Amino acid sequence: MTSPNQPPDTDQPTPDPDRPEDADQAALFDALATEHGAIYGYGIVSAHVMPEQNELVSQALLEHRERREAAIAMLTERSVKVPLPAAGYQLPMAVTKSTEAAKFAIQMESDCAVAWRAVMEQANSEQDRAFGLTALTQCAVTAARWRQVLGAWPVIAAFPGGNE
Amino acid sequence: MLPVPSHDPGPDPGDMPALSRRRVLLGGGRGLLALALVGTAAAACGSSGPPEPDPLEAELAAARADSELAAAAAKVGPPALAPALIEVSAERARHATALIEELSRAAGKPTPTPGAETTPASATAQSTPPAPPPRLQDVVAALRRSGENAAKLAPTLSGYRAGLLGSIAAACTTAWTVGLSPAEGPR
Repeated sequence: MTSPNQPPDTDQPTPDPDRPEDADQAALFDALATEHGAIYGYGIVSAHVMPEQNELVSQALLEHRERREAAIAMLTERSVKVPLPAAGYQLPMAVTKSTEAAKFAIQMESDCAVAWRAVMEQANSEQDRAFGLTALTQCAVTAARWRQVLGAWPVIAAFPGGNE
Repeated sequence: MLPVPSHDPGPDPGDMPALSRRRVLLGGGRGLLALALVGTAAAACGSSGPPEPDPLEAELAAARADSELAAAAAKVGPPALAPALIEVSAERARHATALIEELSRAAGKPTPTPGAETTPASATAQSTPPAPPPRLQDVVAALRRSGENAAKLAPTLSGYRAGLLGSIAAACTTAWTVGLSPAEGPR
């Protein structure tokens, strides 16, 4: 997935001093940071996909943006400092063709699914878990649609966001 | 980029007294049922009714039933949809396996060997297809129902269980909205 430019040698983003210590808030913080990256990444995707995929890009981007706004509101409500989007992101793969853009979109949806499943597992309230579930489901559906676009098989994944 | 979610370390300390009491009351022979109450022990404590089954039991039954239904539909449906139906069947069988593992973990018992309990879904599907051949819309309806039920249950669970059921709910929804739809399916 897209990672901030500073640490090219590691999968982990730069440790954010603002990252909360509470596991439930930290998971939400991480999910928001992942959504920031996805919103950046979908700009790249949008630039390279075929026109037939414009609707899918628009819908996916809308969902990521709505989740970002909701996550910002949830963290702010808890007096947690929200993560800011990075100035730039290093792409995990070269994206110069429509097929690469679709693969990149699948990767981003998978990363977001992992982040939102983590929210579900760490959350302390039914409300947060329900929000995480909606996000996880949207990511899973969008990833499957990108696999359909790509002609990849299988289209569905048994454990979106999980590694069972 | 993100930490992989880890398994739930176990029930909250607050649940332990109720759990231990039930285990004593019910004895070793019914230990599985008693441990199945992890999520509801607090509510059930004090009531004299029979212990409620682990909510994952119903999810397991649904996963097995869906797996059988999709496998049966793959045999009689349009050939073009057979690969997707077989994939759905395999996916629901994997859900069943994961649910068995979690039920065993919660009960403090070793996971049954794959030959013993994890294969009946597909094995039965091959030997005894349901009387009226299932149609695609039957599989879609079953997956939709399973997805909705898992989505209702997941937020009421916690830790690993919430995540597992969340993934299962997301997978069921994806299976019927995308997996069993043509590429130009619902957007």
